[in-house]
Amino acid sequence: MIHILGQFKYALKDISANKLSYSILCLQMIVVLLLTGFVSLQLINANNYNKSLEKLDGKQAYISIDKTTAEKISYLLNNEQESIEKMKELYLFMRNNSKTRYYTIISYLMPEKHNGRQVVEYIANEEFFDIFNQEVIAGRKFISKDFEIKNGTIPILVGYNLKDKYQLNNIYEITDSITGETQKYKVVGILKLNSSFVDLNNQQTNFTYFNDGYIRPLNENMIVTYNDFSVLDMVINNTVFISNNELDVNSIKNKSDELGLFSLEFITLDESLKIIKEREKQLIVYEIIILSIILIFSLMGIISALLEMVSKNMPEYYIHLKCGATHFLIISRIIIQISLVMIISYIPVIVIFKFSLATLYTFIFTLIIIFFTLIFPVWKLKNSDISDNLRKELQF
Amino acid sequence: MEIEKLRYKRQFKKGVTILMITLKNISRAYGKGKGTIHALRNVNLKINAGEMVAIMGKSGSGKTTLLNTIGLLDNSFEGEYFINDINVKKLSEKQKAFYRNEFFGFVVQDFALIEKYTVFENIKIPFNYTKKRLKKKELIERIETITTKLGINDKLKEPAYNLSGGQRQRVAIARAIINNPNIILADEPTGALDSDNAKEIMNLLKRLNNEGKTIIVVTHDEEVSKYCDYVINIKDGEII
Repeated sequence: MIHILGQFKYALKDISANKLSYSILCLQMIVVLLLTGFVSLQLINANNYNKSLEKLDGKQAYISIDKTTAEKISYLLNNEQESIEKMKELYLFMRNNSKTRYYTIISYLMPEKHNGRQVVEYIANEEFFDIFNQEVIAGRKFISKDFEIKNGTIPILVGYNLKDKYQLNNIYEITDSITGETQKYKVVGILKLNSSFVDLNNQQTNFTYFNDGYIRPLNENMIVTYNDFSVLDMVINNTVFISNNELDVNSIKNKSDELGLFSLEFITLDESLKIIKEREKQLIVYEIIILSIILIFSLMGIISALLEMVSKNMPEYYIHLKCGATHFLIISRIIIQISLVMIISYIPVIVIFKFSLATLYTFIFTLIIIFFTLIFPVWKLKNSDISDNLRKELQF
Repeated sequence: MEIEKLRYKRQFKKGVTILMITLKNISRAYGKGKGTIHALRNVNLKINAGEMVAIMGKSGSGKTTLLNTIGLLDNSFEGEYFINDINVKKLSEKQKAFYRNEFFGFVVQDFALIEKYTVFENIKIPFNYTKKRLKKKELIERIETITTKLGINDKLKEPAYNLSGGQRQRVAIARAIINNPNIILADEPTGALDSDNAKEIMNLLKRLNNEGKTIIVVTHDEEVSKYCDYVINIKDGEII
């Protein structure tokens, strides 16, 4: 152990003598490890969402697609009050259709910005949280009572990036996106970094992240009290139905047709997921390709730098070997050097991904990189004969 | 193999010094096929503790290979090599490293100092691999005692590249004796020095020999061989 500590000091001296090379190595590895972290995160998220969708208990989810024509929308808007009443009737029909589980989540872009990003307000019903469990790092999750609040302070769960802007247990006055009135919001919990859900209603993005937003509970009993076309439109069109019977959702479509409202069509979760997974797969493939290219160049750079360093230091290693060092100790000196580079490069991963699964996977990947980068230099050292090299290097 | 390990362990525990080194039919070849160079051919040799021996021969005669073999730096020889009664071919790499650290001190023509290290750091290297643990204060005292004896005490903080040839060789000798080894292997120790410095270095080695150390010097210089008890001549890898 004492001998290893001695090698640690020599490794530090080596690094200090080659600051520039090691700085470049560090930068390369930071890029590689961060990319690895992002790919890991992507894979973990994909896996998590597959798991969260398992909560559908084998039932099919139906996502409504609004195929209403522009003329029809104009007609509905021209007869706004009548349309609002019909929409309320449709919404009540949807809610009272006991055979069908559903969740609703709507979002509004808020006028506030944080770190250059627009703050988003998400409004979700209780069922949403049953399906897409959202973990908090501080405070508490929503409880059933939160979804029954009609007046007074509204509890909110704040996304990770906004935790300093909207601090836990503080009360803020924010414009209510639904009513347009100033409303008191109390921060009851801070969401984990990258809290998200599979956005089945959004064909453009696979996952919606809550990092730059906050979620407030949707009191479904209040929906029918809003005389607002757009609110009702959003709620109806952003509701996902979970059922194993297509007839259940067809009854909603028929009801809408009967009321002369939207031309709703439902696509199944399978169809929607197929599109999402394909897009997700493509994204991961692209990331892995970019990662691989950078990794190949970085590994080549690291290995050649290490080989060069080993060649350059060979006379020194032989002096140590002559003085009683073993090959193992010399190799440990190289391992310590590359490990220090990796530890430094790993710090940004911890800063960005905290102590998450992505950080763990990146750590495992780091160990694999250390292993691969060391194969050639260690092989070179291990197979070098002291006296042969003393002749070559020191020209005795 | 097990017997060798037991012998090694017993000797290590007792702290036995090297009394005798014996080489039996040692051959060493470099390369393969037609390009094979036979550096040593059936070398038989016995050196007792306390002797100062010169190995003389022309360039390429195999004298350095012989010295490297004795110093356990070359493991690819044929034949048998005994340190006391231990067959070194049967020692592990770790055990050979221990022997190099504990029983041998190396001095070479171009000093083999690490330029970027200070004199102190260069001298300290063998101490990093020894099993005898000294406190930092004791280590400093020992280095100071040796360097004072060698006249380089004022250079301890200097980087190696700042030293003259004679000073460098003294540093190399200080490093070679820091662990108090039994045998000093010197490969052309005066080869890179002027005549005055060469004399001083040889006087130094002789002094160490008088203190009980076995000195084996590889040289092609007649003057150097005069300091030794006897000369082993080597030609084309064979002792003549």
